[in-house]
Amino acid sequence: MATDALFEIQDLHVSVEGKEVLKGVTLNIRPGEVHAIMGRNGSGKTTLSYALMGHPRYQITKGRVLLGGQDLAGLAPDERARRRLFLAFQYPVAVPGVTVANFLRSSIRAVRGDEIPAREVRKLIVAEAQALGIPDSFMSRSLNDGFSGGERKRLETLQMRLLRPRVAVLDETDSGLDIDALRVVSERIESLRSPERGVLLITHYQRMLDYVKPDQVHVFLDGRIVKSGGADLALELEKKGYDWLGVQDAGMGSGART
Amino acid sequence: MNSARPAWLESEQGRLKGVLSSLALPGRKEEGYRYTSLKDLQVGVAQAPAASGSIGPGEGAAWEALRAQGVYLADLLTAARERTDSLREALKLPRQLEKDPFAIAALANATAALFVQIPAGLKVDGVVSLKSLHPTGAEFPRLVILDVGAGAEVELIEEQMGEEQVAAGADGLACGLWLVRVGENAKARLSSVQYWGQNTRSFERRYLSAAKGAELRLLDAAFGGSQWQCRLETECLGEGARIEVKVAVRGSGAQRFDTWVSALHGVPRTSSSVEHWAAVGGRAKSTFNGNLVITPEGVQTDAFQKSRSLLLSREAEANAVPKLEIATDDVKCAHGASVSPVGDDQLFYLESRGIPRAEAERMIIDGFTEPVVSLLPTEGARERAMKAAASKRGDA
Ligand SMILES: Nc1ncnc2c1ncn2[C@@H]1O[C@H](COP(=O)(O)OP(=O)(O)OP(=O)(O)O)[C@@H](O)[C@H]1O
Ligand SMILES: [Mg+2]
Repeated sequence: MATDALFEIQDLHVSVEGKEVLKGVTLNIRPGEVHAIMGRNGSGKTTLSYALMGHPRYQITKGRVLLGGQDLAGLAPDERARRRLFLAFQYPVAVPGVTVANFLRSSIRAVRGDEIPAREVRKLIVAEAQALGIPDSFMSRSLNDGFSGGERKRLETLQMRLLRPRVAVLDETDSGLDIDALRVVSERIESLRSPERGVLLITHYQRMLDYVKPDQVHVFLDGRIVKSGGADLALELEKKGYDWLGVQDAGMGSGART
Repeated sequence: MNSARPAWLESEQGRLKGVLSSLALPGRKEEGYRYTSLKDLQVGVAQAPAASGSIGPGEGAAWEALRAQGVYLADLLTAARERTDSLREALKLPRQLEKDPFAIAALANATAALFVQIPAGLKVDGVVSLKSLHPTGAEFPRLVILDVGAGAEVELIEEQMGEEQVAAGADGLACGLWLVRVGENAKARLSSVQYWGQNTRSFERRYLSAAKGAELRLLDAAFGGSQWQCRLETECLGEGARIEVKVAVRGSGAQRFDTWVSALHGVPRTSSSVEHWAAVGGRAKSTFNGNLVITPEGVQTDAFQKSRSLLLSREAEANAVPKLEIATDDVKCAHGASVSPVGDDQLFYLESRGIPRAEAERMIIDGFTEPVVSLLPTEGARERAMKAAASKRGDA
């Protein structure tokens, strides 16, 4: 099984600021698969996504991550991006002064090189933005600056579309979206599904999984996957919550984190 | 140039010189000068003929073509002869600047001065491009007067150039005054880009007024000099007037930048927007001093002020002091200020999109000048400004 895996997370331990947050995560995504991760606030989902992308503050103390069989250890975030790993941020940061247009062009050039002729880039951006209902006026605004929650998530989705990743990690891309936007964004994610591609979708709700059907669902608690199953598992979680899993959560418990 | 100075101008400038000599330079405790030292400064000492410097056409500017369209463009003395009445009117200092020593110095001693008049209804084709040249070590009082007639449209840029090689101790002083009045329903887009030599201390004063329905936008970018204090006084004079100001400073070494903006709203339904961007490295300092004044008559004012500073080194410093003086409840105001170094989270975000760290850093830093530079009206001006910004990278 490991040989045909597209994305392998093996016994991953991650520390932040000296505190162990991930305590051995193992997960394999085969080409064409969509996996979902659900779990309580503070259980380590975003930590996992940052560690996968190579955030310098998130230290991998044990285990490894392979993309297409290649170990990502030691690779800077930009190198991971160029190997076509993509992360849609739960909280995309604002970068005042850098326009959306300039940023998108720079990242497309960085990740896809000469794959698209320069004059096609603009057209591509316009078409994809339109499909996501992102108005043209956003292009000249500062990146994520003053954007609403939902607008940021649409922009993350736009970037995923434009960068054509082999593996996309989507950290709560559904949160903050209104009902119509959720459908549109989900559709854009779903239509990216292909036999070469893998998606890791982090979410709190079943809603998006109605549109983007996961091959596997994993339950994350206290830095570990405590249960895995098919798409039905998400439905079950939605009904029953996390308590029935009977695992002591050292994190925030069932209280919502703000 | 005709050197005959009409008697009325002679006496007006004489009067201003008298005012100037009776004014003590403001001290550090005075409003507006908390972050700008006037130590060892002598203003208005140079005799007019000895102090040199010039305002001329900028690159590629065809003043003749502008004149052919009906634009009036003349130096002070010519204008004093040819357009006596309108110039006398235009030379009056607005009350905001009446006691400002630097505004007075520029007006009293102006060795280089330009009077630009756009007749009512004229939509000027092309950019009015000015280049001011400041010679080493001298005192350079400078004056730009712009009158935009009702319904007219104009775009103007002044690039301020200084000599690069400055002898040790040869401090230069540049006092510049812009008096800009934009008539009813007229549109003016103005830009100033400052590249003074490295030992030049400069004090810029600009008065910008917009009549009913007028739209005025000012871009101010500053790169040069040892000290730059720019005082902008904007005033919406009629309903529907809108004034937009965007300032970008990029500091390095031991430069001091002080951006002092006051936006006055004294009539109903006007709007203003002030954006300040500062990126400072080395031991440079930047200050933003923002005042928003809305009188009881200024109902339904829509005003926005935002200052952002980026610190590129441990020793760089930035301050923002926004002040609001609002005498009516029926207004929409937003203001804010931030001072921070390049954020790790921002870098990570850009890197996660394939952009290498060094380039990501450059994008973030350039992002503090681009909101102004990208809007400059000519390709040449944009290129020079980008080059000036890029040349400071080593000092980040
Ligand atoms: N930079 C950091 N410094 C200190 N603690 C951190 C840091 N990043 C994460 N943590 C801690 O690690 C734990 C996991 O956080 P993480 O953001 O990964 O949770 P999550 O599962 O994504 O939660 P949510 O569902 O609320 O998004 C939390 O206790 C959090 O406070
Ligand atoms: Mg999270």
